[in-house]
Amino acid sequence: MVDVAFLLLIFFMSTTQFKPPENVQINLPDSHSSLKLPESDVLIISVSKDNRINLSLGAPRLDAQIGFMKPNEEGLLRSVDFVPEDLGEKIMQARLSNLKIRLIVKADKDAEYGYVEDVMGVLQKINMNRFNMVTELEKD
Amino acid sequence: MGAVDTPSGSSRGAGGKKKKGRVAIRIDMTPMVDVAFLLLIFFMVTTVFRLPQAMEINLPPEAAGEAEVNERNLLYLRVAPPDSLWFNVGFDKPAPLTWDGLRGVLDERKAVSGDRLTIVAKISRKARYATMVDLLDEFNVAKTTRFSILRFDASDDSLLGLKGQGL
Repeated sequence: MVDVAFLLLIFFMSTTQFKPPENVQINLPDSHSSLKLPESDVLIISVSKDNRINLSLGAPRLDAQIGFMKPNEEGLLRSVDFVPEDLGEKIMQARLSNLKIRLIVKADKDAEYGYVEDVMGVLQKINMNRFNMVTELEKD
Repeated sequence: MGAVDTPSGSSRGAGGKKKKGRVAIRIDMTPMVDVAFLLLIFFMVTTVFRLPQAMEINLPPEAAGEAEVNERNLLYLRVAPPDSLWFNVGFDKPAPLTWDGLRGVLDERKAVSGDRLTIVAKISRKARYATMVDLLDEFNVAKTTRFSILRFDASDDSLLGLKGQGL
């Protein structure tokens, strides 16, 4: 029994991926899509419930380098809020740092559609027409 | 509970001389097993197996060409804030629709128009983002590939009688 317990312990330890602490909580909408979300080379454009737009490369270290995250007065890294007008330039900058980058739009289900529309407008303008929208699998 | 005993001197060396003064060692494994179970439970609880799913969107290039469509093959779907749905075919008057009824309407229009069915979705800026995902998801489920998303403007607002609330 102890052997089995250790086996399970090692299994769970090796498969666990700790979620990086998110400073903005996002409730995802549901869909029937079963496409897997890419995990590497991503640029995540998130729109929170209160309609703030943040960018992230998926790792706080990279975000701090490129200016998507800045330390606050306590020295903790916090996501920088962007307005749609600056978004195009920032996305191009991220793209230049990594040409394989894939775009992910991660918006809260209660966010206003208008902000997502703005983001899509920006993407269309800079000619990055392919992106993924993060959803959770809908139980039907 | 779990303990390891070393064989005591008496059982060993049946033919040999008995060694006296050798102390049997007992290792108590209980604390280790406790810690192991604690960690096991911790990792089991914190592991996330379900990764989020993704929906792929291809936006048309900015300078997309125009296409002529027969008005009877055109299905308008409008979303007014926060999440009410209206539909009409061609130039008919918009009628309210429930989200559960959407699939029925899509299937019905698909039966009438076949592959020529073109959907125009107009979502108010103030609507919830989830409504857009739901719409696109229903399009995917119904395998309707021709749809466009247009700006919800003042004409749509007055058509639905919202008096500017949808802008």
